[in-house]
Amino acid sequence: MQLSELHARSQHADRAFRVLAVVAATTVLVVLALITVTMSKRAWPVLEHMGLDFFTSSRWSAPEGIYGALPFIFGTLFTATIALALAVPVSLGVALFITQVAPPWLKKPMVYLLDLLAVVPSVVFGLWGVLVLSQHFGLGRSFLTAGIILAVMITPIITSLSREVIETTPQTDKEAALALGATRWEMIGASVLPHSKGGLVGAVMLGLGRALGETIAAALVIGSALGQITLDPYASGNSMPAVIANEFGESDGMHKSALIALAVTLFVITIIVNLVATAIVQRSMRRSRGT
Amino acid sequence: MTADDSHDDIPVQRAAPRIGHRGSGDPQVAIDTPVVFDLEDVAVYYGAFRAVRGVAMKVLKNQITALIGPSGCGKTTLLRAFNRMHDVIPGARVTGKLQYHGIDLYGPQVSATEVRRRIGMVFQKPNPFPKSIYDNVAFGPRVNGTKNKIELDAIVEKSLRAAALWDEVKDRLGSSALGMSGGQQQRLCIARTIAVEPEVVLMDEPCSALDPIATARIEELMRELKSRFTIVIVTHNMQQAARVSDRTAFFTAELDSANDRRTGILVEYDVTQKIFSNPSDERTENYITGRFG
Amino acid sequence: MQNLLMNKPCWLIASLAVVGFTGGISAGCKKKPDDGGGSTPGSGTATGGATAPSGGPVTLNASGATFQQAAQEVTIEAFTKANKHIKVNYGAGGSGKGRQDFADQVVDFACSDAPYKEADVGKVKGGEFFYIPNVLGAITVSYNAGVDKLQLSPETIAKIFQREIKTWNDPAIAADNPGAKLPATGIVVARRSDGSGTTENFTKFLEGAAPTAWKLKSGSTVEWPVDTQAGNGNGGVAQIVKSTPGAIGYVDLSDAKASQLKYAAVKNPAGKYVEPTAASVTAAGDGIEVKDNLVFTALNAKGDAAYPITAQSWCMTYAKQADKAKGEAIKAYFKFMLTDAQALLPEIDFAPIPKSLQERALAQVDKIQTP
Ligand SMILES: Nc1ncnc2c1ncn2[C@@H]1O[C@H](COP(=O)(O)OP(=O)(O)OP(=O)(O)O)[C@@H](O)[C@H]1O
Ligand SMILES: [Mg+2]
Repeated sequence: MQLSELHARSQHADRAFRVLAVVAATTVLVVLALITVTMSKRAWPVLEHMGLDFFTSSRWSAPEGIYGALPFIFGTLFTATIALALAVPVSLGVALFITQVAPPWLKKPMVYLLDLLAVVPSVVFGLWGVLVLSQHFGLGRSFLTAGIILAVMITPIITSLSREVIETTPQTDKEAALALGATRWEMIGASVLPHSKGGLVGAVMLGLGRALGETIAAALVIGSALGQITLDPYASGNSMPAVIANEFGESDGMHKSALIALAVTLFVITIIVNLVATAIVQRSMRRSRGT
Repeated sequence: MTADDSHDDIPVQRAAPRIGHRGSGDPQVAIDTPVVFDLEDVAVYYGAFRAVRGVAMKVLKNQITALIGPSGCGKTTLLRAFNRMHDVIPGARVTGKLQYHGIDLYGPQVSATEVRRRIGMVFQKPNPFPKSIYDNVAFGPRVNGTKNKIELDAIVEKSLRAAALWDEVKDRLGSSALGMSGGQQQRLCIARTIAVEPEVVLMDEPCSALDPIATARIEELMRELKSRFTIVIVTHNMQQAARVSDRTAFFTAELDSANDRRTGILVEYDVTQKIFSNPSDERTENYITGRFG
Repeated sequence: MQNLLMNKPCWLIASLAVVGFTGGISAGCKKKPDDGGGSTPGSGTATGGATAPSGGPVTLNASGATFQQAAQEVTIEAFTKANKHIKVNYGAGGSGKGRQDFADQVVDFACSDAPYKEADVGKVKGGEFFYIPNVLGAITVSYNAGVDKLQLSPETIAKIFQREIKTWNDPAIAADNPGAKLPATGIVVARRSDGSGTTENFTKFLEGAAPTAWKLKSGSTVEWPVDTQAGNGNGGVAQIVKSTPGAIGYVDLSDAKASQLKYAAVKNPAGKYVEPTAASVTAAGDGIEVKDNLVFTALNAKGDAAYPITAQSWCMTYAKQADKAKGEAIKAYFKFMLTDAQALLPEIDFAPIPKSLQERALAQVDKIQTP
């Protein structure tokens, strides 16, 4: 009797869990859909007004009702690229140092520090950027300043996630390489990186997502210059989230619709970036799994 | 049991020391077999915990030496001391004399990576790299400086053939090693290890995850490889030890009165035939006859 | 771990990060998906009205212009000292947010530097409402050019801010300052990075006073030339002016004074160069034309002593109040704001509204109906 009771109970738990999982998943999807629908609806007027020029033209003048978002899209991608170029090597290096090289007495405080940094509010980084980078180091307000700030902001989270991913490399995988006479670097190349590849791309993507959507820090140091499409990192520019943060409060009508359209664009870009990343990761995992 | 039958007529000397092979009267030892590893009073610690102590034994060239004993007696621990695998475990250290061809393995001038190039290891659980079959085998030669594609191709084929895997995988060398069966993976790990042409191959329960057919193949493989390599194998399988090894070391764990933990000791080390037919120590006899406890 | 990060959760997590960000904007929409509303991300101190029983304690929630935040704060402090049972919360989220919150009926009153546009009046849900003007203030043209006194005409200001005049010793500036020794330094223009009522009033002033020279039109943000420096808030612009030799920027009087900036005397429609002071601001108030609904502009006011870049601000509340206790409280607060509190304004570098306007505003407050 007891056995059959046990059986029934575990079945119940199983079903409850499944229901819960389905409900949670649907809720997320419904919320996402709702956001997309309401936002798109309110972005529609400006898209009707500007057509595709919204994405391809470069003038943004609220008083004249001209909204060309290209410089902001460019600025977002440009600063995010600078941020990744700076943050990824540093993050990976630090994560590898912590997991593979650092002695235990150093490892603990470093991990603690990183996890702390990962949760520092972005406005703190932004102010630091204004005070130290643009004023003290004379970088001014520019794509580069914004890129550096974003890099500083996303480095802890990328490092923190990378460290966790790398830490999951089984000891036996590492020993496999070491037992063949590999040095530490060769071991990292043979065991740690292939094992962690997917997770590392995920970590970088999370960092990229944060860099793309970062408002306050970018708004403070990017310079809010209009119409800038240039690869000169010292030029002032603007990015989508910075424009939204700066202009939303006092906007109305078409201007507000244009800002919402920027948000939708940002949303779509972020989703595309993540889908591409997921595809890259899955392909690389499939290849190493050999299926 | 063909080649090893010659050991049958070695006289048993009750008076011989229980530990080590000295004076056991094995003619092969005394006359022509070079000593690969020479251990005296070796102990391995994990932090303050002493996992094995007082090990003294000689591992002979081109022989298969089996380490047996109950779980937790320190077989793996000792095996890893042979190629300085403990270096990567924080807090682990090896004391005592552990010589490899007369050189102190743990001497200040000795490089651990150099040691591991000569003394390879096959692990209990197959652990191929998440890379292609080819890259798995070519990894060792590559880190040892072989970059030439033709040379690498030759090494890969030779190693896979030696590991009796070539025919099964020759058409899919580029596909991932993780897509292979467990037995294939273990043979790939053996191929990977012998691809660097080590002198010694250490194997830690290489067949524990395999079915009898795969086990038989790997045992056959070991006998074939014996002419080229010196093999030290840890096994829980008495029949396996008896079937493949030339010499057997029996370990057990005894309570350490100092800290109330169990420390592994070498009870008896001798020619396999003798260990299994006529052990000197009662504990060995109890263990191999299944009366352990 | 790989699987955990890799498959769907990966992009879900990351896109949720974006949702978190856009969610700030859509928070307003979710509540009322069909109106044109929204709220500034990160702000939102104002909440729905409390339902205090009449006679008991009353809480008034308001939001709006940052321009008159200081004025509201001193008014609230003095008012609640005398009326202990009434609590007033003012969330300075910007004029635009104030108008939005008021239209959505999520605040009891709101303050704004600009009235509703014609098209938006219909979106105000609570029906008829009153504009109650309560404060005037100057927007300075502050500079850091190594000269003690500076006079500027609207045309010159327009050309400077459009980067057509690039050095301090430009003939146009010299013409405004006969006999002055002007440095050859380059000019650095500082302007707001955020949308603001200050920018709106400053550009409206230029549009009105220098219609041919000024080409950027007017609004809470305009299409500033690329080589201008952007600062966040009045404080941000003041900071750039203070720390950058050769800089010029528009900053409200209280922030300019707080940063100890020098500011120019600006030529008014009467042809006089006038410095921003409490007196010249009140003088601007005397020279304005006020419509029946008390909407007016104090920019470019008539009168020899009037400072031309004078901005105004209103508070708005509904003509028919739904809650008796709140309605009475609002009436009391507005009356106080228009009388006793006016005397407090000069201390914080604002100016009281002129007497004639004060009387009309008080009459309007009397018309507020309570159940
Ligand atoms: N990394 C380690 N850190 C601390 N203690 C360890 C570590 N590895 C092994 N030990 C301990 O050392 C002792 C010997 O372990 P070892 O793995 O060598 O035993 P074994 O003989 O190989 O056992 P089995 O037959 O189960 O594989 C055990 O008490 C074990 O708990
Ligand atoms: Mg073991």
